[in-house]
Amino acid sequence: MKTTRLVIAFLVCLTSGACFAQSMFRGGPTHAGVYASPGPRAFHGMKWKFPTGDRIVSSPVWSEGAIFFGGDDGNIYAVDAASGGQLWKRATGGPAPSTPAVAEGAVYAVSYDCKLYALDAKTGSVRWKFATGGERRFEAKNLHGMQPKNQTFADPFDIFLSSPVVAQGAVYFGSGDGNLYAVDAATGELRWKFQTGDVVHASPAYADGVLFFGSWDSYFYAIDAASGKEKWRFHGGEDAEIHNQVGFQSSPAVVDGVVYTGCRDAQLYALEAATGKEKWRFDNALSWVISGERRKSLFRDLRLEPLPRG
Amino acid sequence: MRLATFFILSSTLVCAAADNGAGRWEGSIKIPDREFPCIIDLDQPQGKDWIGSIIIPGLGVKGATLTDIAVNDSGFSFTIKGALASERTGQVKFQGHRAGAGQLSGNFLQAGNSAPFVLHKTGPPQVELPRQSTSVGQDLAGEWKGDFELNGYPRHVTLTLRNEASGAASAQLVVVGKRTTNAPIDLVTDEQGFLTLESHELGITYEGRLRKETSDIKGTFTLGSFELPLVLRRTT
Repeated sequence: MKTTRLVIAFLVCLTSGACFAQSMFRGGPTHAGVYASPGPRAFHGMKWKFPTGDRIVSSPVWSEGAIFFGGDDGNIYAVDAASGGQLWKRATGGPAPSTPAVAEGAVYAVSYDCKLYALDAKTGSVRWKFATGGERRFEAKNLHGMQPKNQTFADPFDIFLSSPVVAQGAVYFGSGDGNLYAVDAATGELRWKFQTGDVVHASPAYADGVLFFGSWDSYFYAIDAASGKEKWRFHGGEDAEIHNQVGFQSSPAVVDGVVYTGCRDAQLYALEAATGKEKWRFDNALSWVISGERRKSLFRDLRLEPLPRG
Repeated sequence: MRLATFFILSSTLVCAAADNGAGRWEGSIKIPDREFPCIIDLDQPQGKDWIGSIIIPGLGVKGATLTDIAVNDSGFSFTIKGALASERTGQVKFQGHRAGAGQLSGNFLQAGNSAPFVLHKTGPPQVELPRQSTSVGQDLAGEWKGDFELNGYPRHVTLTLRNEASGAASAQLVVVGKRTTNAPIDLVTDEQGFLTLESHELGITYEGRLRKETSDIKGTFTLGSFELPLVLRRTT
């Protein structure tokens, strides 16, 4: 597993096609990963590179000629897409391994300092900060069979933070304190929070007024975005012994009324968005399904196979 | 022959003048069993002192300010301000010399230890300047008071904000508890009512938003790992 990228290099800008990118994790609230523009057709070389102080786990997002991302050096960055020059950086109190969302001139980003930041997209100035109840990694005794059995270990593979999604004038994101939060995008005031049984580092997807996300408590949830009330929940696999094959680390995608989510129980699930009823599952043969193609390096054995139709 | 010599000498002098040390320098620092990439930006704006910043990706350093920069025909030296420094180890210093066209080499020095580095010039400087204090709005200028508790003991805070002739604001932050602390504030910013104060010397920050409806500043006082709510109310 190699996620350490000390230098972010934007190759897409060197391609012959027009470059329109995302302003939110996986391109939009549903996380479908569908973009309005064609992908790169040809590679002509690296145009620029932008060094940071540590690895970059966050995905870059684009809005109005600027690229935004978080760094594990604790900064949120805005970089000029054409030149690679730094437009601004804003220091947070911890690593920022989540993907920012850009909406209404604001950049929303989450940091390991337990805060959601709303920054002005042009200047990086702070509009507001929202503090959660605390941040932590998923942890368990005898995790992955690590010795001694009675000691609690933090999961070394829990490297992401929840990426915020912006919809209905609210910012939605998960937290290590087990909550999914809904925060007013303009004021930073809490609208509601929904408590799960463990860490929520998956990024919620939003479709038709409903939020979809999984928790490390092995449940996948559908929550009414306006009220914060639970609509349904789906139970993934359990692994009470070594906690290796348990928990939703993956971020879901919603397409045509079907929610697709991976799980560390090695299953890829397709669930009916309206009811949570399982349509099908794909067994990845004991290998975690913790994200989509963007994180394919984290699959133990990536296999591309045709999946059943949703 | 004379003409050729003249051109060679001239071109050498032109190159030397152009390569005065300003630029982006990229390379690595070698410590035993490990090598850290390193990027240094050095510049000398016309008629002004040298400025610089450094990026060391493996050590979490991005855009740290360089101080005590000295550059001459044969060598250079500077200190990294703040980053990587501690009471035990002291500050990090770089000392080196020109090792040929577009190349610098020398030693990374800290706490009596030395690690060699080699850097190559890769382009024009991209010096990252430290954050500067801004002016504060008239609705923030003046005296503010508030209280917080730390370890069960009350602390009384008085903050005075004033715009200076330079255009930037200054702040006096006095915290009275068992003793009186006058915190040296080295950064004051007002970002549309979002106030930030920083005292790097004491590790204190205060961040808060001006609430016009209640005429107070609702914020958080941070001392090291302690984060404490602090509401400041205007007294003048």
